Amino acid sequence: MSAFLSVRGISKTYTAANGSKVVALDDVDLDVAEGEIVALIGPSGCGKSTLLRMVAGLDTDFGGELAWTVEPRPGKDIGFVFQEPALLPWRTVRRNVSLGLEAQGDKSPKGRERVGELLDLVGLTDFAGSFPKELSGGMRQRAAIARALAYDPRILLMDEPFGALDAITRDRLHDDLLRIWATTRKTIILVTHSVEEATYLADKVAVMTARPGRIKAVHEVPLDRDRTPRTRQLPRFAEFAGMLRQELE
Amino acid sequence: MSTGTVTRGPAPREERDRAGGGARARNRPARGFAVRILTTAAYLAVILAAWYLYVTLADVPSFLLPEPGEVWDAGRELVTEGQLWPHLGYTLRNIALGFVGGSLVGILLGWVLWASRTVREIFAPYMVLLQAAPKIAVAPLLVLWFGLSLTSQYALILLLVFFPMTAATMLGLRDVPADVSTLGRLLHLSRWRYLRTIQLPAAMPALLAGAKIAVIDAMTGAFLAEYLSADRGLGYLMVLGNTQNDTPLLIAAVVLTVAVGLLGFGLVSLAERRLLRWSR
Ligand SMILES: Nc1ncnc2c1ncn2[C@@H]1O[C@H](COP(=O)(O)OP(=O)(O)OP(=O)(O)O)[C@@H](O)[C@H]1O
Ligand SMILES: [Mg+2]
Repeated sequence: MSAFLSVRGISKTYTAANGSKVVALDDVDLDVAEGEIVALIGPSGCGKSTLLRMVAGLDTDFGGELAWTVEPRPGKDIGFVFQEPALLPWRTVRRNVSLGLEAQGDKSPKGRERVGELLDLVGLTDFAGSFPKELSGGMRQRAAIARALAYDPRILLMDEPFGALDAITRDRLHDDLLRIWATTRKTIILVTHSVEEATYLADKVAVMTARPGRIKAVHEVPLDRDRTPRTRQLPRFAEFAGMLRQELE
Repeated sequence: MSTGTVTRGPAPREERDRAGGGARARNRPARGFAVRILTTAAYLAVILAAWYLYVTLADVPSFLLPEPGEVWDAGRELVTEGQLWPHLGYTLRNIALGFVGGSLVGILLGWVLWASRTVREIFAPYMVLLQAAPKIAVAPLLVLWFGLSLTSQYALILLLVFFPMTAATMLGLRDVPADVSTLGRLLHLSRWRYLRTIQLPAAMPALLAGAKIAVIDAMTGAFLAEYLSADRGLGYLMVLGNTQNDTPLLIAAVVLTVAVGLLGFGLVSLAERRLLRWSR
């Protein structure tokens, strides 16, 4: 695996409305390899979203450097999934998923085919013509994931994408995401609050600390890439998750 | 056995809901429509009966309140003398043009006010002031400035229409959730595409709510303008009825006015049903 993105010495200071300064990130380093799933985990307010927004190019006001092997093209190479699905309620599922292609003026049959494949991959083919409000929370989030992948971005950024879902739905979406990864081999950075989620999905987990936001440690997950619900029962799984939990304390 | 039911439960229920929803959706409008027509007819009948009974029992003189039949005759006379269509058409045209023009101006201004903080800070307070001032008081001034012309009539209608649309636009454009506007930046949408694919649809509920007020305001403006300055239109018919002590004509004109108002409101509601299909 080759280097894909290097975060070098990133710092960010917010000035709050009352004039006081908040150091959101302080000298953060992180390497992301191509095709890797990296989990960012840390207490609330440690700057996970801030870091993800920088990588997405949504925030360019920071110190330090983001070094890409290939600079992402604006509007084409970044897929982003929010905590809430953020679908456009007046568009059907299919038209929501194809939003990114539409934005690029891509009307090719290949693009349309891709949307169909993604809908299939997230199990929403039968609901392609439905409006978002006719879907369950989990289905909406699956549509949001399909939307982020429809224009074939080079990296997928996810900010607590399963945080608003119940435990059963979340487990199903974990497996959906792993299946998607297996077919697309996308590079993924995933922000999460859950040590189990990080352990189950990631190749590498970066543990952050708050005030100031720093990366405390980066751990390789000691599990095979092929993960199934049974993986959760392995002693190594529990051990690693327990270790992460301790680091967070 | 019970576990089997639990695991298999969700899928059939989902299907049933969808099928049931479809059937209900097909039946509901037709029945609802019939019920609405019937209740409207019942209302009308009650009002007409009460009106008729009051006039005959209390022996109200015709110049104060004629009985329904006389008003009907006055209305028929308008039709047979070929007066109705020129007057009605004139008013409808003014309302339509005023509403469309005022809405466009209002939406544009709303967008500018939303997009530029400077413009907002300069104009917003005065806009509220303008809205608080009774427009009827401005009407004579408009007549003074633009004369007894179509211009002063349109000026009045525009003045009444643009504000609710501006307010609705400003409110509506703010209705884009933070994540969705972030998505717009992420996809690198141009300003124009962002407006078209995200902002306008997101603002549509607010815009339509504004349009419901604006269409009534357009009507008020048109009648008021005709009342003051025109020699045609439904407003002019009212003046005619008034000055000639032709109360049946006056009331016929009022009834027509109400009908036109309901028509305008109905058209906007119809547009709402079509455009906001996704929200029901
Ligand atoms: N726009 C802003 N203005 C001022 N301070 C901000 C702003 N956005 C974030 N912050 C501060 O920066 C810090 C990091 O915020 P961030 O949203 O990145 O945290 P997070 O790790 O994503 O937290 P959570 O897990 O709760 O989502 C917080 O202390 C927050 O108060
Ligand atoms: Mg966050």
